[in-house]
Amino acid sequence: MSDYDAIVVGTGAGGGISACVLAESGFSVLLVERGELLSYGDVGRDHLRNQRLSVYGHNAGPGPGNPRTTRNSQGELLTFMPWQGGYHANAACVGSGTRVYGAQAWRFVPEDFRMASIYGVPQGSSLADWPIEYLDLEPYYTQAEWEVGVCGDEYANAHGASRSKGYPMPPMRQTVQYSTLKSGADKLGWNTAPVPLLINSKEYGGRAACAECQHCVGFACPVDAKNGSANTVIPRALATGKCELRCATLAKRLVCDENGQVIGVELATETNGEITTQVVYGRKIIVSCGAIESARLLLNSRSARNPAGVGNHHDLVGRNLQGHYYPGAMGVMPYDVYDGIGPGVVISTSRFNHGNKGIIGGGMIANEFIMTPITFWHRALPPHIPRWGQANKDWMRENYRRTIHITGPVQEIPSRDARVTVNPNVCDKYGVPVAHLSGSTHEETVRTSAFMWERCVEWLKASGAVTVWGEAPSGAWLSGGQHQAGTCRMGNSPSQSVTDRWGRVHDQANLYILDSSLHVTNGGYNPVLTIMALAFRGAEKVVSELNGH
Amino acid sequence: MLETGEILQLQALADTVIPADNWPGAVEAGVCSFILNLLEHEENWRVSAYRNGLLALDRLAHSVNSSPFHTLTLQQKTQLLEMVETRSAEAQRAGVDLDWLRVVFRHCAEGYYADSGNGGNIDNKSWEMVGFKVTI
Repeated sequence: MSDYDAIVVGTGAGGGISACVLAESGFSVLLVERGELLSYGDVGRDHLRNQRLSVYGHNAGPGPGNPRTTRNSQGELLTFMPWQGGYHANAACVGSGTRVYGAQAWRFVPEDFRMASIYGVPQGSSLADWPIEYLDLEPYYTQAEWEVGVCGDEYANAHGASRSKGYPMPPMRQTVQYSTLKSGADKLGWNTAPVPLLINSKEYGGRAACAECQHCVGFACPVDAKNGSANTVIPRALATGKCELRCATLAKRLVCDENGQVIGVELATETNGEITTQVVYGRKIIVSCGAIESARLLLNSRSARNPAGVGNHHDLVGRNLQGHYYPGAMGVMPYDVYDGIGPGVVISTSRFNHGNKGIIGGGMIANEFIMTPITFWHRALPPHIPRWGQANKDWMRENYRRTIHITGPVQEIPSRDARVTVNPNVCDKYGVPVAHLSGSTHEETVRTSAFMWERCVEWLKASGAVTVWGEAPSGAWLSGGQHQAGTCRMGNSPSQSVTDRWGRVHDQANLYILDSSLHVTNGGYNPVLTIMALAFRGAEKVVSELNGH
Repeated sequence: MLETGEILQLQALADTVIPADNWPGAVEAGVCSFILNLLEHEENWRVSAYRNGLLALDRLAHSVNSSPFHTLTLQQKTQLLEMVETRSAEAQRAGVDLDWLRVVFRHCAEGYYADSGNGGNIDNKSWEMVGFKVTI
């Protein structure tokens, strides 16, 4: 007997939408989140503890007690706290990353779903096509844009791909950096587009328009104009009365019947430092914990019928972990290019996402969000400027307002060896084995990144930069973080993929994964709108199954 | 935790890392309070590195300038830090750890440029200096 029609684990971009679609279809839903429901004040504005610069901690989780491990090149075991670089963190709170993200709302382009067909499979890579095409997702991209709320320019952002509908809101206001970089792009003959954002450029969804503050990416919105799961689809789910939200609760493992079919979830809830466990049963189970934690949950769910973990008969769960390389360059302009109008990211080019001779894929590049002064000190200083003394202070004073940073996500060429396993010897505060990360991206990712870095430099110089700096990417490493993806890739063949084209785990009747784990490749764009589109599409399928179709 | 004499040295060091000009130096901006707070609550394990580092810097000051570090002029203190950075023989003999000094540079910047909630950047003066204005 099931306690709920559906149990959704994780409240981020995929989980929130899944819960909303199910609850609004009349089904009872338990929505589980390991973090807390955070107010604007809870997230705060700590410049040293945020999702953009986390020197001493995070403002949106995970907190202490949730380590991960890896091994260095000498084979020594390293343990990372969530705010350390090797952790590859995603926020842990209601809304997950969408609570504090920069909210770039890109659709992948048609080529992104056919990478292997277009470019071939580089030796040693696990590059593959998606089992679906852009047109399969197009209606759900539109649904995400309208139901969660995206601002943008439908004509500038089309990139040759068809759209069934425009954006519900116009793009954000143009800034000094917009006009500066537009003139540079014009000189180069590059097309540009305003950056589409999950932000209210005007009042929308009963919430205010963006106040153009200086603390967007990495922080919560002071006027609630940033659209994430926590202020859109989760309130809708709760308003039905059919959805129960349970915070501070970790899904320890998936519970199976005697045939190895998942029928429930063992939960551990922390209340005033006390941990209690409970098994809940659902007709459908949806895992939406992000690429690292979803893989960890499946791998931690071993049983007689699933000895290597659920869905892992072919040793695929946790493999192909990918994120985005972010090549970037900085340039000092001869005049102030800072006008304080947030979020700051405003102009992009998708000219180099594909069609680059001799290069596999590519990526979108755009100017950067407003940086806090200490983030600027950490990330933007030229190599020849000392890190102390009068010269450092002078440079900060003279150039904070004159510097433009161009960067963007490069489409990764996945590697089977870049993976999540579980470390049986290191447990989190609930006593559950933690994620262990290993491997690195494919060398073609590095080559594409170096190519894109040159484009960043080229754009800055054409836009009038007096000096340009930043390092060209070199070396292959593991790339996860907030754009983590790929660990339960979808596909048509059970021996080559973890789920089917809807997100249902191949050998499971009632277990779905609806998050970035499904991404076969991760596009040359921020992936959140694709996660949302896949969730709308997958949840619709779950509803149809619950209705007996 | 650091003692009074060590705090004097820390102040002298911090004001060399971020000197006063038309805008506050590190001490006036609250950088030392930031660092002491950090050492007490977040990075207690660095206290001995600070203690040893400040002692070594003082040894270097005595060996080069025959005076305690905190009594030197900004120019003299700057020269000593440059000696550490270039790994000069005197700095090596005095045992000043460059890795520690680089941490001090970072800590000073964090105290100077981060939000005042962290105990530094009094009155947001550094934000005013660079032109970072918070509108809401």
